[in-house]
Amino acid sequence: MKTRYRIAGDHFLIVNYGDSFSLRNSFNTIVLCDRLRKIECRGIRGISSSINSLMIDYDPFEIATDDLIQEVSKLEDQANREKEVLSSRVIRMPVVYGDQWTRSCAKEFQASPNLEFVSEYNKMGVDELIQMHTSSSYRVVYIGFTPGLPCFVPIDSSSRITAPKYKVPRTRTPKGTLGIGGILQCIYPIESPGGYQMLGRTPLPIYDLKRSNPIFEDDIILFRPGDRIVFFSINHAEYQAIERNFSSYAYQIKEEDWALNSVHNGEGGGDV
Amino acid sequence: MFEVINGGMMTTVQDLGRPGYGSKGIPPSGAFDAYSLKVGNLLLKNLLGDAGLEVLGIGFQMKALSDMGIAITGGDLSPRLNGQNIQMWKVIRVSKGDVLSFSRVKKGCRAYVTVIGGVDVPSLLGSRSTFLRGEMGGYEGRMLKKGDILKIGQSGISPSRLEGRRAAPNLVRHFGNTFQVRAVRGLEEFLFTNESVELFFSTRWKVTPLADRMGVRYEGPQLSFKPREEFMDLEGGEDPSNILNECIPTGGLQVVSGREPIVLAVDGPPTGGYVKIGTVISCDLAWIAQSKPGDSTFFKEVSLDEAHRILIEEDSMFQDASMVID
Repeated sequence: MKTRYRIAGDHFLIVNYGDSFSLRNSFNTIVLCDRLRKIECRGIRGISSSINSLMIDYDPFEIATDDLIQEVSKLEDQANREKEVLSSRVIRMPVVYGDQWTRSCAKEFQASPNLEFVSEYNKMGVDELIQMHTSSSYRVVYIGFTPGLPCFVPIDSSSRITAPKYKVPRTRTPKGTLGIGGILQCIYPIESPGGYQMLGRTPLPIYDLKRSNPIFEDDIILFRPGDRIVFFSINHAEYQAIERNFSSYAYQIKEEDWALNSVHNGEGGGDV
Repeated sequence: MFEVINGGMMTTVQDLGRPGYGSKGIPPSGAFDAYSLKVGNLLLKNLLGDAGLEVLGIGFQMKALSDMGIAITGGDLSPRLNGQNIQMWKVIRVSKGDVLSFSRVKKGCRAYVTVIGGVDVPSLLGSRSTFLRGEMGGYEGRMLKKGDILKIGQSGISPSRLEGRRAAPNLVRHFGNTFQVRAVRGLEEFLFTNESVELFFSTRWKVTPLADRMGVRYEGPQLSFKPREEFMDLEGGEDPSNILNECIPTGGLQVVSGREPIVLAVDGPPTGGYVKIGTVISCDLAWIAQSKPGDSTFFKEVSLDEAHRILIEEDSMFQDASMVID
């Protein structure tokens, strides 16, 4: 594995692990983010990450770019990734698949029902797709686009489905929409534009500035890179019940470790 | 305190932003023309990062509910006090009941209203800046509208003491219709043909109407890409400008489909799946903030060392006492 350093203007440095997708690269990215945050290197103002890479916002008055690259490669050399363990979480999320709201949204933008379209595209029935979606688990590889939006992929590559993005992005996507574009899936935290096909909708907020549920006391954003998500199917009545009693809803979250060599289907040895 | 009489096209509370939350999907926000905001604060003896108002275009009007000292910097939107033209880049004393308004876009497009003590809204994640798409920060996470009443921070300095203080000519900026913006090449530059990289740095680009705090889009010649590996089609997308999602630096120069480069600005998405040819240097985002649809822009390549030298030079202006005339 070759680590690449890319200069992004006068105060950003991008550390890239490769241009193709693998959960191994995502793991490496999150490990390095963690380590960088822990050592509190002088001059680092912020660290953000994407699928295969992370970006360091540094103060060039505090640290020279070359010295920063040195610091990062020192950490790289020390890391023994096979033994690395990340503290992660598994979060269970309820979803109404093929719900009425995203259905009418698709209609608004002259698209056929998205869930049916994605099922056909992957040569399976709707029930089969839902069955597959709820029996897989997903790794959050980065947070982006809008505040708190998690992007995730199925951990077991055999349950990977794909979908083309909208040719012309929607100007509106309902809050809580479960979307898929290419191999990536996401949940829209707020009503926003979007180009992913809409599979369903969750009643659970994942970004809450008002902190109306105790889960948001520490952080207004639910997901973190490295989290594992498991979905379960609910109906419209259950959706509305959760929505009504949201402030007292108990989010189903469990702490767990993420390591490259233990873990869930397909995440072991080779690239996924 | 002051009351908003008319919100205008788009007026938001901004300071120097909240960097470092890209991992949560939150862009830095902050004044698009940070230079002008800082000059305003310098004149008023505020902290350089105190919050002010970013006024885009015409229409904004506010009434002072107490005596205050203000400075207007940035683009010239014909600022008036009680209907009389007032000077920019200079401390103006405002009395209770006075009305400040902006009536015509003369030069640039974003003016900054700074006030002694700074605009006081709750701080969120270390900043008072408004991020409109996230409905967060600033005044209730939105642009200002009629009837809003905003508070001003405490300062021991009275407006009469600072009245007339102005920026030295070197500190004042004037805006025309042609901009030169400096950029460091890099990122996915290697995916473009060499001719296209050269073309990019020698073209007179035209600002399109798609220009806001998220990004500014330009019109010009088509840029082309080198042949690339097959996996990039599968994972990034079929278009040759698609890549696997990457972090986007503020100032990143994204070129969708080889057409219409976009400079991603202060409210730009923290990640995205399009190639970038380089990054605009941090000092020059302020110039982009003042360019309007139809204006011309040249991107000039600078080395990283040069970019750092420019940063140091600009920083030293704010330390230099001779830049302010009492």
